[in-house]
Amino acid sequence: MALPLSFLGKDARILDMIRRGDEQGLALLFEETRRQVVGYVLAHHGSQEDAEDMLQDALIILWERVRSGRYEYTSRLATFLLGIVKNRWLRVLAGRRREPLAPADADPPDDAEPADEAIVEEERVAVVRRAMEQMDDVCRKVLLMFYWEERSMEDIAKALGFSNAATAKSKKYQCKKALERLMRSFQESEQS
Amino acid sequence: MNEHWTNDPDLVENYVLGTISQEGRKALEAHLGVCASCMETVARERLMKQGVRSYGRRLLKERLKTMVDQRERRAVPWPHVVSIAAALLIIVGLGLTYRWWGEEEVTVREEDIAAEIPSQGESDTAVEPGKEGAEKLAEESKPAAATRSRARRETEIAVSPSALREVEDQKEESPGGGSEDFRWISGVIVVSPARHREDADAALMMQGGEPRAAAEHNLRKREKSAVSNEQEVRILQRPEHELPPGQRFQLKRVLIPTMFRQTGDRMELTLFSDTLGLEGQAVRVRRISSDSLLVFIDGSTVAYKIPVVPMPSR
Repeated sequence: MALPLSFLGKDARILDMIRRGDEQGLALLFEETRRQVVGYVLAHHGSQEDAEDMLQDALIILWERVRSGRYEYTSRLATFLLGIVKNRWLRVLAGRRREPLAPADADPPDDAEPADEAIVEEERVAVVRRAMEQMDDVCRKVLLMFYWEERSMEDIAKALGFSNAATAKSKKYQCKKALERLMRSFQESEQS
Repeated sequence: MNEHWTNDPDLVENYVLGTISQEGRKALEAHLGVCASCMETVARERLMKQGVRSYGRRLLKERLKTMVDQRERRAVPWPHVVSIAAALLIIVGLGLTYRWWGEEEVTVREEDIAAEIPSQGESDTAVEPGKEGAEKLAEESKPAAATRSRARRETEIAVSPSALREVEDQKEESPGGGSEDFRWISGVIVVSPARHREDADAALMMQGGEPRAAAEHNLRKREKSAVSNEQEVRILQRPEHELPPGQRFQLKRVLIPTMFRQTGDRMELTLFSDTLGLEGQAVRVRRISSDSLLVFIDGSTVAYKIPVVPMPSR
């Protein structure tokens, strides 16, 4: 028999909200953990803005894990989030140490540097994001539920009111083709 | 297995989404190593997944920021609310206690009070039960100098309406068993006895007098009369325990329960107090408005609002 939620802790209530797709759970958790995270980042050469940005990213990781069923509750949510923030912030600091700001008159970097690959990859991803913004609402939802939330076709059909999974799958195929067309057109306009 | 497994869109999706077993993945990856077009198909699918996820995360991040902002705007600033509530509670409490609402405020200037304190050569308005000996010494040693210097500061004592208020009409049995009509009113001490006594002591010190010794020689009389604006005012005192039960609520406040009688031009005030003492003290009365008067007893000033409506008939 399921226990009423009032018997469970705040973490359980928030996790339940996230599982149900209630984003207010994230806002609640943000308020709960902000002080701790800001304290850590400020103590490690960061700003309030850095801290809040890191916390938002950590909350999104939690959201994705919970929604995809890959989250396992092994510590308090605040501890989990602070762990992610610490790891990510230390990587940011390490990156800053490796890449000191170049003086204004420094030589331009060599084109063959591997760091450029990440930049090119980010540009490609940005093209997909732009294409997504141009998509119609239904296609956006179908693609987000499929690629981001990793929901089954049955779930998508149920959530978006398709008659069955096959119809949802057919819609997903159309949406992918539309997205590819938009991506191609953006790439061509950038090249020309 | 199909030679070009990337021709199966479901398989490509499952591979990119990582929903294929470890063994299956190894087999598929072995083919990717020798099929450039297959590699390209997988890369396209992977880019689509990354782009859609990146888009979703950005949207969620924006929504999260909005939600947090909204919650912060809606959040109740409890410390401020509690402070304001506490302040309001105190104001309302004081207002209820002193009945600030519904009555016109009368202001008694400390200067007025000071002017009424008798000094040498101007005690003609006070009718004293005896002017000889120690009593006269006590009268003359009233804190005129000290009080006047205070009056020069031109401070005002704001007497709240309750300070001069009239207690609601009551037809209680007279504690003295009399049959005359009377009303209960409240006197309010507007200058603390301590202050006056200090001033009086200071004045006496200057004159080398001893107020206590002087007071001991005063007549043990508990009834005084004074003239206020041509009207005789009789001041009487009775102990607090003689106060009728219905008027005892006044004892819990800084009020002097007082029985008021008016017969013709004569006004009679019976003060129920164990702290003020008529005994051996000169009593002075000053009318400061048509319905307000000040009574100076024992170094204290008691303010009254005098009933102006006709006396209730029995």
